[in-house]
Amino acid sequence: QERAFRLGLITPPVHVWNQEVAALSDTLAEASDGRLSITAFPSGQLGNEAAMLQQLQTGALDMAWLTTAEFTFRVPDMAALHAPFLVDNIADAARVLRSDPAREILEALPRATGTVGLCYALTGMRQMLTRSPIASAADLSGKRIRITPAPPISTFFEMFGAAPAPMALPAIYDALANGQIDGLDMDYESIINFRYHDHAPHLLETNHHMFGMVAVVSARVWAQLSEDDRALIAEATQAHCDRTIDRFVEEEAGKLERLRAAPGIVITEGVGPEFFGDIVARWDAEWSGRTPYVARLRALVAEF
Amino acid sequence: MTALVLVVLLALGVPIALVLCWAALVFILASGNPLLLDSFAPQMFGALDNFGLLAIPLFILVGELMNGAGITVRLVRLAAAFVGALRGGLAYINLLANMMVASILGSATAQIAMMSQVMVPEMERAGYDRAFAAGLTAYGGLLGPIIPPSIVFVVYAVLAQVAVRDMLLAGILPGLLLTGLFMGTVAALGRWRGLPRGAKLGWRDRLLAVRAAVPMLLIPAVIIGTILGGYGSPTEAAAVGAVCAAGIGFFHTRTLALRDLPAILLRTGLNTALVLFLVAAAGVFSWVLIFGEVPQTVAVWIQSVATTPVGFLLLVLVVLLVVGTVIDGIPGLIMVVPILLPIATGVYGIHPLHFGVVVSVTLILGLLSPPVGIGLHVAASVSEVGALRLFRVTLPFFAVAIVALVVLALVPWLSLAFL
Amino acid sequence: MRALWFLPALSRGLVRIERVALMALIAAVAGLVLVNVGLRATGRTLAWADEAAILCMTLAGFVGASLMLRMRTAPAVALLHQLVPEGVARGLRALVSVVVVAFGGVLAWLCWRWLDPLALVAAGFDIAVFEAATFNFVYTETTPVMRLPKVWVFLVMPWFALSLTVHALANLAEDLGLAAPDGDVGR
Ligand code: NA
Ligand code: NA
Repeated sequence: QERAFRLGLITPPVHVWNQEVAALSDTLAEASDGRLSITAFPSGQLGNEAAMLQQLQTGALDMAWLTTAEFTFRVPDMAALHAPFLVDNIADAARVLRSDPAREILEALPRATGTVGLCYALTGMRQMLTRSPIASAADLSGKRIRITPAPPISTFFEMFGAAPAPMALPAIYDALANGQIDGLDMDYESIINFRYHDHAPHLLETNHHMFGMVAVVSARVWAQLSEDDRALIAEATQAHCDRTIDRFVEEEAGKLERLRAAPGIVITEGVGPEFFGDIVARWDAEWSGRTPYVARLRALVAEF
Repeated sequence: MTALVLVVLLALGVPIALVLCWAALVFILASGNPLLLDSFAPQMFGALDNFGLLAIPLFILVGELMNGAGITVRLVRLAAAFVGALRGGLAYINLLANMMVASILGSATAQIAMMSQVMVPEMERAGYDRAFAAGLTAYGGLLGPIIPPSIVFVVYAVLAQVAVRDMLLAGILPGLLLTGLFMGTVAALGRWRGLPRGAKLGWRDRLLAVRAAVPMLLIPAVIIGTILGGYGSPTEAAAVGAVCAAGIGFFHTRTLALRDLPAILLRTGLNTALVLFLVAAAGVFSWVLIFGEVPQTVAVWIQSVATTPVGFLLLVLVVLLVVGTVIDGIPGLIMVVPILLPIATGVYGIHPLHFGVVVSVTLILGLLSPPVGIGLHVAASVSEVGALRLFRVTLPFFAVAIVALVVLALVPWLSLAFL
Repeated sequence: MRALWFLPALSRGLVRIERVALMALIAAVAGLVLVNVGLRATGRTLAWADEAAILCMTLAGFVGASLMLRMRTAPAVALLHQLVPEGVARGLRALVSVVVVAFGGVLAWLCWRWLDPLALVAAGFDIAVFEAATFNFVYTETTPVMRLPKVWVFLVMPWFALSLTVHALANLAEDLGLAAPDGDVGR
């Protein structure tokens, strides 16, 4: 019989993820002769990612595209994907997300979260955007920087003396405007969409971590599907995860160009790990104890 | 089925928040998706887990402390010393005070709860009918989420992916338009109903009023200064304002004592809960409706009915006015914007900022539409007036607000002038 | 002494607890926000203070709502009550109390399903076993900053459900003349 899967995501309808979800619905419908499709719930309509996860667990929600950051609370291995300066460009980030070790991390999802992870995608590399000029890591000390709530990201900012401030997306712009935060950890796509550079014109092009996404299905729902349908859904979703990754890799440089044209913005290019001293060693020392994937992914990237 | 339950329970006088909860439960069962029941309690809890809502208890606390310290009264008397002799002078002051607070507060329900406590006793003392005072305060409270800064507009900007600053600028003219129209209404009512006028004071008395009020001006100055100076969020500014108000009450006016604090905290807590419980219930209700794709279905229907942009906007206006009666601005926006905005911009070519102003103002006005608008019931219970009388007294303001809305819908320039 | 005197008595006990809790929570909200403002001046900041303030506010919302329902001050459409004769209005009030009691019962049942204590016992209090058996991860959910187990704050929901039921039953007993109105908490 016909079935429309409910899929939740926090990004707004214009975002690349949402466009690919719409395309995924068409792909599924075509492959199943119109039997299967997807109804998307954008902009966090069903709640934040934690709320969507709870709804996936009960089986009320069928699918979701969730950030890898959200999973680090329950799957420590996933934190390795947020290792600082793991890769220095988005093309390599794509290679990591398509690697075998990264795929292995998804195997922990059913037991730890009640969901089945089908594939990864991303929303670009994270940069630093601040209200005042930053010449050295010391200038960042004591600054209140908005982050996506996730333990590995907090660790990174705490290690160079900043105060990480977890904050939901809607609160950021005003928090910047009224000085509640001094800067933020953000990708080009969202910086452009929300014009954060209005109040935080100093951009450090750090590429300090990749911001990934996992396409998940409720484990309860997955268990009730036939083998054939599972294969069909996995294949279609994989195709659109890949397409999403490709689009971000292709468009990343153009986004930086667009920002460069924004009036008043000051961009410091090519800020690498050395800017933050021995931060990579210290971060790895702390997180290697919690997950073997830090070492495995570093080794993988060394081969690129 | 759900609509029937909603109407019957509302009519019976069941608390509005519980009506929304029951309607959500019935909708879950009627739509054959019982799995949602297991998310009901966490969803209700999660609706309050929101940084923006922190402004509510703190601004209510400032209001309580300002009242206890005799600050509000002196500020109002300061204004009254100068314009009080006009017919309906205190009514204008009410609107002006609301406009000033509007630049601080972002939630209509919170503003109504707070300003009712401040203005209603003062106006009643001056000879105004209590229901009129409460009703006027409720309509003044509409200005809160329209004149920047506004939590509602910020949420829209984020949902619609427009710049928050542009959205806040878009609220200026509509806010002034509404203020002007309300003042015109007061002037007309002043003649017709014979609103009281205060005594005309001599310069000596005016100077005394100024002297009594000058230290009190510290509070708004501190709150606005904290926000504009970039020292903190509106919530934090309110916390600083609360400390100043308490200090003035303890040491300057001496109308506050430590033993008053428990009662102040309790009243603050009860008024906070009044708003938050509605937010929680509305959150669950709109979540259930979204799951049932009700807003999506309505969007399809609207598209089949409206043929022109103006027709579309007017239809949206009517639908949202109905939705807005029981659903607060922010849950309402989360429900409808992702669905209606692509249609508005894509199909009808409406500017997203213009659409944002119309949608937000409509949802906010919905709070006051008779007979179930939550805002009116908040005003009624805080000032202990029958809701029925409140509706009757405020009908002229409702009519004027509807006219303003239609004007806003027809004249995009009002929303886009500062772009 | 009327037949159901114990209901208002029980309700009064809950009211006392809830009043103190509500005052403390509001004081905590204001205090936590102030601490962050003060520290901001010295260039420091506590990420956990915002989170703690929001949690206290959420708890205050439900504790206060429970009190409000006992005091019958929750906003409602009282149109009909003002239009009908007093005898009918008394009947309406009792009916409203019944609807509130029923909601308290339903919410308590929903909380029971959500927290699933029987399955937890069946799993021998082993959370991993419980999660594998139920796909319910409520016991390992944590707050983002403090990493506090969320289940402790979630407990306000069953408290709210039960307290709300007792308060509404007390209101009902008073409406039906089965208990003397409690002047202290009734209004
Ligand atoms: Na405002
Ligand atoms: Na509304």
